[in-house]
Amino acid sequence: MPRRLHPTPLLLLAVFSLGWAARPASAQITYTYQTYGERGVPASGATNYLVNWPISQAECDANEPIRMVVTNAPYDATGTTRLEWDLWQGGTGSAGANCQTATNRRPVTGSVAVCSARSSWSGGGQITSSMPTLTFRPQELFADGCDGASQGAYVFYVLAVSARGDTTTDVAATHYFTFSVALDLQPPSAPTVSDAAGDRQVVVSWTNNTSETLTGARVYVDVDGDCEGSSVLVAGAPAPPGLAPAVTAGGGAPTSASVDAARLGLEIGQAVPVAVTVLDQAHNESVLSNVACLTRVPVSGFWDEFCTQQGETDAASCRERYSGCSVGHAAERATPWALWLVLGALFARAARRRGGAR
Amino acid sequence: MRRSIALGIALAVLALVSLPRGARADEGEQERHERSPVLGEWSTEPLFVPSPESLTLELRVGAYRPDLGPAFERAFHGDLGPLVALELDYHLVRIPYLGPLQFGARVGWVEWTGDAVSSTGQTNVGSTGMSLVPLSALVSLRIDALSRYLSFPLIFTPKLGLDFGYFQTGTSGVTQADGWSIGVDWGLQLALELDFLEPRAARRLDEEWGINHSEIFFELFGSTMGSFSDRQLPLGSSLAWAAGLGLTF
Repeated sequence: MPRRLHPTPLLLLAVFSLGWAARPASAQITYTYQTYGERGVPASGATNYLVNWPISQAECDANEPIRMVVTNAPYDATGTTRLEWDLWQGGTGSAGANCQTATNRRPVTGSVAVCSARSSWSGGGQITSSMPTLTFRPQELFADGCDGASQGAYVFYVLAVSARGDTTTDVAATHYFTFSVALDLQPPSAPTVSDAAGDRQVVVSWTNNTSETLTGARVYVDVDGDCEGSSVLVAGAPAPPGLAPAVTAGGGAPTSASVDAARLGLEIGQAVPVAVTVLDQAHNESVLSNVACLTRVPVSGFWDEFCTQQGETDAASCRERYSGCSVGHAAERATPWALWLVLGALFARAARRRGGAR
Repeated sequence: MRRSIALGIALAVLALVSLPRGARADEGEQERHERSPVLGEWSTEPLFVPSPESLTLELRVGAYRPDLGPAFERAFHGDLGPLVALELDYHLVRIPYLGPLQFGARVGWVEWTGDAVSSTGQTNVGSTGMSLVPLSALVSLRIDALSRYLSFPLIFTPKLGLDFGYFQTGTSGVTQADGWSIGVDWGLQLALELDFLEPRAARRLDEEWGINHSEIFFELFGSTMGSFSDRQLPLGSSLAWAAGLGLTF
């Protein structure tokens, strides 16, 4: 009996393709932003606002740019395809200026408009990633500078997408978003770290002592210190400037990290001071936690147990006996692969025969 | 444990998906042996011609613990894996009144983990683990005569073959040893063919996808990997089990 291709998968594919092609334009502007490259977490806005994005003093001092890319700006409410767009920037201040309103975009006699057009784009249809990147610099946002006077202050930028040169109609609610930043000079509370022991990879664990949103932690190991009190690590003090963290853990609020004791040059039996700091969203670093002790100790696992069981007292000879060449010579090691090649050939032949039978 | 549960759920879902679906009344499907619209007579066309059946595919999950002695028990505390595997068998020749003689290949994966121990007896100092990739070449006799001739949906399959196991073991994130072991593999499988649940849907599965039969199975098996040489790690197991879903096509 001749086999026929069932139409269901093709129909599903066709329906999916049609649906994809005819998908409606998004009803919401989306954007990506990246503040201070070090943060390295470009976020995508699922809402039309981003409020009080924290900027640390270090970021403000460095005046690193905050980049923002507007994407997926939809067609206007009437469905008319717009070929040219303006991106408006509202004024600074705690309230900002709403560039949705046409009058804020319109120059007043003898004065300038409250909102300014930061960027224009043309090319037809939706704004895509080809939209020029907007760049803000912290010192541009904080008129008072980066000192404590600006702490907690925030600046609103109301960005709106309008038809090019349009200063007569209000911008639709779905065509704008607000963005504000806040200078955050308050570091998070220091964590509490526990003693750690292990062989090569030693797991250091700690408890976070803050309800603030954390973004990472740094583990400092003083390999020249000792656990009797001689160390550059001091509980409650800032991390020593000359000491690089042994590990920087990311991904939210970590509570443990693995330290490569062998790479740090620790000998078996050596105990060194370890302390941890945590980072908040603005990358403010806490002071050091309590100073705990990291000890490199010999650790045994299955292989050590097995070698002992087999009467092998020397780990190297045990490994030599069973590891790598455990099936003897190279030719013997190749046997499994050769057999699999033969099996593969047999299956290929079977498949051809099966195909010919249809 | 969570891995085992997840695998069990995945297997159950696979079994459910493969179950023949009930016939839908609105399709108005008719059997081919009905009156021919052209001739007005009973057609001599066969009622149902199954597609060629030459392969068996098995999705397996089970428990496997190698006979490595007390060292394994101390390090892994009776960890049973699980072992997940995929097996494909080719029907070489059908032996009359018994079933097809098959040759096939199986590839699997299993990992055991436990706590490393420091010289002072501390256990929170890292982990130790071992993983095994068993590769098998098998000959088996799929005795499906009960199902084919008596409509009794049980299939027995004895298996015999060669095992090639690649192991890797380490502690505290560092690989300590790896290598190969060879041995003989045996197995005895009992399968329940699912066609009897929805015969018409099973036929449709064959017509549309070429899947002749689906079945669930339970298998007892063992291996002598590593027992032929004192330079091979004894990775064999005197008795292990696997269950899963089988498809013939």
